[in-house]
Amino acid sequence: MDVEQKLRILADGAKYDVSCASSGGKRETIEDGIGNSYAPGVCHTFTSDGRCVSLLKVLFTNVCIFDCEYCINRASNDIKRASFTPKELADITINFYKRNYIEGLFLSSGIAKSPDHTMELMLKTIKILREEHKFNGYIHLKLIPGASKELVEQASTLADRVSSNIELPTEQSLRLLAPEKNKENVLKPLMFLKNLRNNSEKQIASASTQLIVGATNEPDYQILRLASYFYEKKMLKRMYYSAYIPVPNTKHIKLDKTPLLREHRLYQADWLLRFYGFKYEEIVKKDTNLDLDIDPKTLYALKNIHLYPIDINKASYEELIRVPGIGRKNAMKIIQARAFKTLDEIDLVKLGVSLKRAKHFIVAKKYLGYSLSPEYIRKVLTKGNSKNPYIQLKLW
Amino acid sequence: MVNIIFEDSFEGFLSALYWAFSNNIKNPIFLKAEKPSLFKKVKVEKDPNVIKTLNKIMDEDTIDMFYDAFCFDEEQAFVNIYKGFLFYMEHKHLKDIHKDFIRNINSYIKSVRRERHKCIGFLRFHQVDNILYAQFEPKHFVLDYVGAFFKERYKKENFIIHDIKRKKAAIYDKENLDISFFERTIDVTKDKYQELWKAFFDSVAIEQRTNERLQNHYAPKYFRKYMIEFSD
Repeated sequence: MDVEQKLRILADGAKYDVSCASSGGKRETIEDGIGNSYAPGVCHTFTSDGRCVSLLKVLFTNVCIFDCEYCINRASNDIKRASFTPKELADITINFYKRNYIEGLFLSSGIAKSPDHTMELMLKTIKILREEHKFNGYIHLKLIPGASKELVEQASTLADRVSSNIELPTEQSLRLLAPEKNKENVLKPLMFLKNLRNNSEKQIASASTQLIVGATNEPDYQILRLASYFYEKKMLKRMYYSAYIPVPNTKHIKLDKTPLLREHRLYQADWLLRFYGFKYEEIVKKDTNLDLDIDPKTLYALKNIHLYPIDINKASYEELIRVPGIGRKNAMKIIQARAFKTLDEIDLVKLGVSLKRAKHFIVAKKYLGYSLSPEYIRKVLTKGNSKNPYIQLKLW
Repeated sequence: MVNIIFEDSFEGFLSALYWAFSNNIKNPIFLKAEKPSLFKKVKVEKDPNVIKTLNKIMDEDTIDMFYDAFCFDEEQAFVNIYKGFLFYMEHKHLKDIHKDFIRNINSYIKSVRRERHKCIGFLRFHQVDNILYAQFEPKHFVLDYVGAFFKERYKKENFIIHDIKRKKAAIYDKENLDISFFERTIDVTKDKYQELWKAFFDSVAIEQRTNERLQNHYAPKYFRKYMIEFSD
């Protein structure tokens, strides 16, 4: 099989991993070497589904001894199989990098023979890049569940980011859909790395994980509780959510397709956890999903309408960023601008603050909305076009 | 109205700003090259002493702001920077965003920084002999920034980054980075990595989620001319 065909198969098999971030890296070019990582991250192109391509995201092999039901590469699935050699893959990576197609490599893999065997081949590829080519660009390496501690440690010193996918929010679901995986072998390496980070002098890669949303029926509450646990324990830098895309011949998965909107709402909520000082209990009610019609911050405001309106000219930064439609940048701009004069509606427009949502919740010399009634605001913001099938049924 | 012609560089522009300020010029127009005009023309040479003085009286952040706004590379921007300069000389800051020209300066800066960042991602190099060669047509002057970025990244490569629109290039020979006029045309040929890249680009897309509007938003069409995955 020629390299182009391999690349097609192994890129296709890796695309369900949504992560493609290259941000947060700290590497500089080494003497006689090539490549550095650029902290804000770089998108090199955008696919026809509108996603950023930052890294060469491929599987080392799509041969797999596991039979996870949600996965296109599972052992029982009848698909074309291919494997790179470490040298082939290192060669493509370096040449793509030189032409500025990518920021680096995102390497995942099916499990061929055994977890350690696979992990070793992946590490060999990375070593060719780091040692022979003196490549100091970004590398994201997937940890194979069940790989030995020594290999996990090696991975964490060679890569900028490592990840271990939790896949499903509860052990019960994992047992049902991925019988060969268990909570233990997914979480252990993350714990191990956390300790390593605290005790090692070396630069240890940060970690992330991915959850498939909608293949089983855990509500968003459970998902966000899990995310916030990982963030609090500092085990993960980021959590990725991937709306389940149906694969053929499934036994236990009943849904045809999870709405992308649900994935989007989870990301919005995740941002609120990481950057806006929200707690998961504030955003989502026990055992429920996020609202599909309205973003989580607006929903929070509607449920806590007694905290609003907020006076733009007096509120603290923390209060400002809790206004729907006002983000961190706009909050800073407002604070800077109000030092010179009391801001009114026109000033906010000039500053570039979008008032579509914000106006219902703020005072700028006067209250900018029409009414603080949550029902009214919800109606205006959704324009009566509910995307939630249940609400729509009720209306009719 | 006075047309002030400055030497095409930031130092040249600063010298012109300072000249206009010292001579109390009310409505200057700043030009990089002479244009036929009915107004009075003055040519201001680059003056190292002026640069030294300005470096003393202005803080670094403000100089950076002026530089980034200057890279916007339009006459209207030069005029607004002049207004900002006068304001700064009086108030020692540029934070009053209620002034139109300060907001404009901020929007130039935003636009320039955004394009620099896009170019870092979207620039495509071709291997021509032992040189990496890239062409692009940015809206703003971003060549110096992009050149410096790749000098750091490709330390041991020779490269040429060619701004077709401005007929300038950033040329790096593994030691020095030089930005100069460049009017040659260089032929680029296809190689196997371009084909591999296109194959990769096709197979990472998820068909069930096709969303061209989103793609167009992030990868605007004016950038695509030199991006090989978008050419046939």
